[in-house]
Amino acid sequence: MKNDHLDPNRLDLALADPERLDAQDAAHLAECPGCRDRLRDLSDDLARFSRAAGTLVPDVRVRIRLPADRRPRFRLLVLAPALAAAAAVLVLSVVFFRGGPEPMAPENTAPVRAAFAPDPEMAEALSLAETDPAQDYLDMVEAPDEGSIQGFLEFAVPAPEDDLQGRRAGKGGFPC
Amino acid sequence: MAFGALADRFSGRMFRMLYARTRSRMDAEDLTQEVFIRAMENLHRLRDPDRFAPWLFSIAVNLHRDHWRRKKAAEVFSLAWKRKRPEADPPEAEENVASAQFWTRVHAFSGRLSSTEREVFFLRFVDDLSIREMAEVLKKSESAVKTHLYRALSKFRAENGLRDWLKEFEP
Repeated sequence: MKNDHLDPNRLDLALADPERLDAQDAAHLAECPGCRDRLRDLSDDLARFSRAAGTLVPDVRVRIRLPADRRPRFRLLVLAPALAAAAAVLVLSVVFFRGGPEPMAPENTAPVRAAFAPDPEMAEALSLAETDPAQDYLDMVEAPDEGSIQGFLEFAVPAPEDDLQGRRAGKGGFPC
Repeated sequence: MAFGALADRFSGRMFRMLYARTRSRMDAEDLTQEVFIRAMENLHRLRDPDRFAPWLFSIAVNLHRDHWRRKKAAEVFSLAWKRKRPEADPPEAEENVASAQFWTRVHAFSGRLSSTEREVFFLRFVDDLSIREMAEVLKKSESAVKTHLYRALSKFRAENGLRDWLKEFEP
């Protein structure tokens, strides 16, 4: 037996890698109660360390979510109603503000013109429809002839004495 | 065994491993989740199903390393972040006084270890891996692992504050 006690470094080596300890040190360690106690003291502290590291850890609360069973993330769930509302507003605004089909713009009448071209009357009608009305017509619309309107009114709403139906009503009442 | 069952079986160990390194419940939970997603996505690369545990630990070690780098980068580029978190982690993570005292001492001790010594020490005494498994996780030879473990043990032996606390905690 080697009389020298193992120094701390050789004790560490005995713990970390006992195979690297030379034969004399190994023999000394096997027979020296003092060195074995020092080695056991270190070994016990390491065991205490392991147990403390195992027990002084919070309980695991995480539930492992694997890719196959991943649920929508919380943030998306929170935003879902807002996203749905935004989509609804978008759809409604498109429906209400866009309105129905737009009237055919003059520049889009080329297909109609081509279709009407063989018929001279239709072509003329289209031409009239596309050109501004004559000034005479506009003057007539803006300032209608007082006399002609009066004549039309007399024709449409006759005076009671000229009203044939009224006369009949006075004599014998309405036939109906 | 279905992967979901494996995840259930190892989630506690993974969480403990990552909590010991981050000292933050939230970070440890996020990283634990990420470990299993990465593992599932790369399961075809696992050649020997019997080596699932060290393979999973190697994913966790790499993820934690990336996490630590991002955290350091944030610390460098964000003075506000640094001011908010002068010490390691939020106190709410530690649920009682003993836990707080223990992890504070552990992190003070781990600060005196090199990164490889720290990884080897934690894999051995927190994660309870064998020398062979540690070598697989760290992609080093068993001999190299033992050398790092020997150096870490020398520093642990000198860590009287932590050792005395451990004796008081568990006489």
